[in-house]
Amino acid sequence: MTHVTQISAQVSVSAKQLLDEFSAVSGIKKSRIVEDALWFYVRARQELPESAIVPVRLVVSERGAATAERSLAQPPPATPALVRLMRTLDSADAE
Amino acid sequence: MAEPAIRRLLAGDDTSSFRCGDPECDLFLQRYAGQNQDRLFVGATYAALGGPRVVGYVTVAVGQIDRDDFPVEFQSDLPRYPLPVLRLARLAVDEAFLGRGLGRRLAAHAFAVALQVRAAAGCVGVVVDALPGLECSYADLGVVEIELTSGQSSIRPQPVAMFLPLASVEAARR
Repeated sequence: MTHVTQISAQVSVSAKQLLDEFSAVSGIKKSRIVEDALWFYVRARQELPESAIVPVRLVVSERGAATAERSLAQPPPATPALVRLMRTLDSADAE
Repeated sequence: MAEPAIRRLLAGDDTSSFRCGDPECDLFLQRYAGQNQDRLFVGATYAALGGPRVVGYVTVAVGQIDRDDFPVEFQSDLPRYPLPVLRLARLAVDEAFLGRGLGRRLAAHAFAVALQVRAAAGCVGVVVDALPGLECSYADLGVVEIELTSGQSSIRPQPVAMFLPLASVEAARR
């Protein structure tokens, strides 16, 4: 049998929720998910420098949330510069 | 001279002579953009072609805006679930093609891709990683700074995260 040990880590509430839900849906043990995720993550990081990785999850601050909320609830009208920019797209660019 | 055509980066594209003034951005195109797109599927790069060689590029990746870990007393109408966005992570133009509006065309292309993503899978906006000094150019387009607590770009100097709702882009195309 492979030797095992235990780790403990503080994570965000949403990360814990993701783990719980994925485990419940897939039937895979949480310890297996954590182990596989670690291997995938570390291998990927070894193949790519940090600057080549685009973080997927953007957590906004309270101020950032307010900005996003305002922008989505009442999208600002397109600025003249944005209108001009989008009209520069020719049909080939848009494909 | 014809305007460089923009299309998805292909394995055979000549990136070897690309020079934008930032060796790290050159290296990203030459070594990592292709594998991120075709092997790891963690992003897509659209190349502007001046003849056979790449003279500009924009790299995008899907992402999500999350708002967890707020104190309970902070009331926000932003949904508890993650909001899908397209992240404009990198944009660079070869030094020989600066001043021709190619950077803007690449940005417009990324915005158009975001509209396609919205139609195909859902997307509320574009998060632009604006290099320091270029924030004003994006602000002119209606892109506003958005404060993050994590998920910042690891490029140095660190870009400023900015947000543009896709409703504004759509309005601009009408």
